[in-house]
Formats: sequence, structure tokens, C-alpha cells
Amino acid sequence: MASNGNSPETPPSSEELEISIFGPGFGECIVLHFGNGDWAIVDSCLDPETKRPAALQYLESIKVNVAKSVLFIAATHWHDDHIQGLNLVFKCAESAVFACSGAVRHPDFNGILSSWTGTQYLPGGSGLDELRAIMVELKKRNSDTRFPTPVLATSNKTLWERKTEPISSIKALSPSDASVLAATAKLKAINPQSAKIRRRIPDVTPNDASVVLAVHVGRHRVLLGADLEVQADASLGWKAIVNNFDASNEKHHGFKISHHGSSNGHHEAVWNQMLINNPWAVTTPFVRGKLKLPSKDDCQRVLGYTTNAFLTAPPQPRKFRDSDRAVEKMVNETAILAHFIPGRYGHVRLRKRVADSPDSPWNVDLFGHATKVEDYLQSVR
Amino acid sequence: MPKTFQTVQRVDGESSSKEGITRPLFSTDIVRWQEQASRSVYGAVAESTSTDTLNSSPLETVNAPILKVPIPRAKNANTASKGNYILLKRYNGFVVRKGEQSFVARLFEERTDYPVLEAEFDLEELSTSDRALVVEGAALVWTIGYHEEETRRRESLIYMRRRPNWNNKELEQAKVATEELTRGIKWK
Repeated sequence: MASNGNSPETPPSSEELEISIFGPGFGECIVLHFGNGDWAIVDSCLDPETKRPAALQYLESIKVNVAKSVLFIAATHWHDDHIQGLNLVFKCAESAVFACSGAVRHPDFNGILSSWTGTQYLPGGSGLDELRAIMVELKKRNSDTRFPTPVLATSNKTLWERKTEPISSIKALSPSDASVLAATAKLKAINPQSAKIRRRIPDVTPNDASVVLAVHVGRHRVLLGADLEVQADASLGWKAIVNNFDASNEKHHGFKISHHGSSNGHHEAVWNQMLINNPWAVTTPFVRGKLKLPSKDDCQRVLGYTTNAFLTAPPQPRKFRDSDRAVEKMVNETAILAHFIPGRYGHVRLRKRVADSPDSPWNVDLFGHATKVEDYLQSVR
Repeated sequence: MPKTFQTVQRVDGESSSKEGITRPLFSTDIVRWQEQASRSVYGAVAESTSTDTLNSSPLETVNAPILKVPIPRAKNANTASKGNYILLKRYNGFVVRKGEQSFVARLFEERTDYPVLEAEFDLEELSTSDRALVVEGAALVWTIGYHEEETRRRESLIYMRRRPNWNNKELEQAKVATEELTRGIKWK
């Protein structure tokens, strides 16, 4: 795969399939073009420079009419780094079907949503606040037949399809019923209770409610792994998906690697059974404190499965700086480490003609701090 | 009563030499010392209030100095001693992760901050009573500023916020509002 050297503002042709993945080291967003001007968005992150949702910013730059052309939006789960700005994206995309994890309709989820987002907290907000804002918008649209009905993602359910050529679909491979139960049980266990100390919702991991998507456009297949992890219980996580994946199903040609390339998101059977040999693979970085994903070992592991591996940005935070030198000095003296997140921002864009053979190479463009995984490893050796 | 120790600088007016003195101070109560010290000897002047009797007697002579040290109350650092404390930065934040000896916090100056500051601190940076409050999601404040009088020194103060606990009424109201919201949404 060679970089085309195209400009980021060059739109795809109507015959081209495009997968664009954005990742700033905290958050990720995937924008898909199915050909014929039909677009989809999965998750959302903000551009650290402009603070705008990456998807909106990109689509506006290539002159896409977001209100009419974006037909599907999915929130794979409500972790902060996957949903920032999605409410604004959804408000602009008036023609889009909204999909999220089936966990939101579990009877216990209302209690979870109300406790963490309906009571007073503190600056910063959380992913659940963003999800609540989306639900407010959904409620407004509910009575207006112009807007499509939202859909809940559960295992093996088709969330969206286009029956005209090129025939396309987006299918959820998770969460399973067991995963929904596990996710809501975990959230319920930490639910705010009377007389307990007020705090922000902690991240619950692994995120059993995460939605993995299989995207089909003509003969091309792409697997979007969200943040799903591997668990000991075979009815949860990647094991549940692999066990349900029929050998007769066609394998996927590309993979948005799950959970930022971490070892707990890795399942060998996904590479061996669900992906072709040497697929393209993209991972987005994640930085928290000293944790930086993907690690060098993670990168080595990915390169063992494919040479077409890309990072939207290296997992490096941005150094802390302040216009006031005294503040900068004090922060660096007091904290063991201090940095800004997200750090660097990048965009990996893959395109090919829908009519091309699934085995033909993709055209890859790397923008911002996006890089090939092997180049990143070389730079840190 | 928890104690904190604060180093105070004393300046010898003639020789300009400096000597550090460590005194026990109380973190929740502030000691009130009556100000009579000769400014030519002592560079640091302070006033505060307390029930502590340790230093209740007025200054007597240059040889028996009483140092007055401005101490911002932990809970009111942003309104600290008038004229003595210059606030440079105040971050609000929450704990993202707690380790055995340290914790990571995400910090905001303004609600709309982005990118945000993420910092890892030693638990030792907190008072003993505050360390027990460090759990994922707990709120904290970090202030950075200067104490200024005759001399100036930098100060960094991190403390956990003690917010009112959740109560049944609030949780029930939130539940009713959310049910009203989600009832109105039809899903496929």
C-alpha cells in the first residue's frame, strides 16, 4: 500500500469506498463512505486544535452535506474517549439512523443513567452525559416522522442497509445478551447510593456492552473492533463473537483494531478466522498517566499478523506548557508527570473503487501525525 | 489533630543570612500570633487564627521571635489571606486512577478546557485525612500561587473536595426525569 499524497480535502469519487479513522490519543472516530455520496460515522472525538468533532470537521472540509448525506451514526459505547462531540454530530446529521448498544434498554440502565447524569456533579462531564444529550435529541425527533427510528445494537443484528448498488450493510456482532447482562450488572454495582460520597462515574472495564461492527460494501468487508476485549468467559467479549462467526462467512479485508491495540483486546482467532491474510489494520492510540497504548510489544504483535498496519498517531501525550512560567515550573515540580491529553492527532484514510477486486490494494493517505506502525517502532528503538 | 510543618524563612537584617525554622502548625486551625516583630529581623510576617495556645503571647523582644506565617485555609484557598496570597492557577478535577502510592487526576481550569491536563501525583502530596478520599471519580482542587509579604514564596496546594453526599430525594428526582426522557424514545 502506497500513500497517494492526496490532500485531506480531496473528496472521494462516487465510485469509491472510503474508511477514514481519526485518533488523537484520547478518542477515536471512523467515517465511512459507501459510494454514491452515502456516509456513516462511528464514534466521535475532538480535534485538539479546533475542539470540533473530527467527523464534522472532515466532512465539511470535503464539502459533504452532513444533514442529507450521513445516513448512519453509531456510538459503540459511552466511554469518554469514544463519544466526545457525538451529540453535535448527531444534531447535524438529520438523516442518520442512530445506533447504540442494546444495554441502554436493559431495565437497570435507566437507573444508571439517571444517577450519574441526572444529579449534580463537577466540570468535565462524562461519556454518559453525552449519551443523555443524544437521547434528549432523539426524544425531540421522536414525534417527527422525517427522522429515522434509532436502533439498538445486539449480536448479529443488521443495523443499516442499502439495497441499491453497491449493496451495503452494517451489522452488529456484539453485544450478546450475556454481555448486556454483565455490563449492566457492573454499572449497577457502582451506582450512586444515598449517603455515599458524590463522584464522577468511574470507567468500567472491560466494557462488555461495546458494539463491534461488520461493514459490507459490495464485496468488501471491514471489521470495526471498538473497545471490545477478550475475557475468560466464552459468552463475553471477542470469544463470543468468534464462536458465532460462521466459517462460511467471508473474511474481512480490513480491521480497526480493538482497544487501542492492547493485549487484552487481542484474540488470535480474530486474525486467523475473521480476517484475510495481511489485511490492513489501523489502531488509535490511548494515553493515560504512564499507560501508553499500543505499547511497543503490541505493535510488534500486530506486525506479526500484517505488514499493512497504521497508527492514527503515536501514543505520546502533549508536554505540559503554561504561559505563566511560575505555574509551569510548579506543575512540573509537584506532579510526577504532567501532560495534556489528547496529544498528537492524525488521520488514516483508505480508499479504493467499490468495483475493484477485494484483493486489490487500497490507497492509503496518512495525515497529521498518522504513521505506519513499523515506522513508529523504528523511531522509538 | 493533624499537623503540617511549614518552613519559614527568617532574614537577619544585618548580615542578610537566612535561616530556616520548622514549626509545627495545624492544618485545620490557623494559629493567631499578634504582630509585633521587628521587620528588620524577620522577613516573614503572618497572622492567623486558632485556638492553639502555643503562640498566644505577644512578641517580646528580637531575641524571642514570633513568626507570623500566612496560611491559606485549605477549603478557602481561592479567597486566601488578603494581600498575602496571589493565586496563579486553580484547577478543578477528578481522580482517574489510584495506585498504591500515587494517583492520576484529570484537571480543568475551565469547564470547556480541551486538551485537558492529566497529572500523576504522589499520595504524599495530600494530607493524611485527604488520602482516604482518593477513589476513582473523586473531586479535587489544585491551587498554585505565591505568598507575598516581605518575601515571596511559591505554594502548591492539592486537596480533595468534600461534596455533599447523594441523597434519596435527589436520586429519586433524577430517576423520574430520566424515565420521562427515555419513555419518549422508540427504538427498533
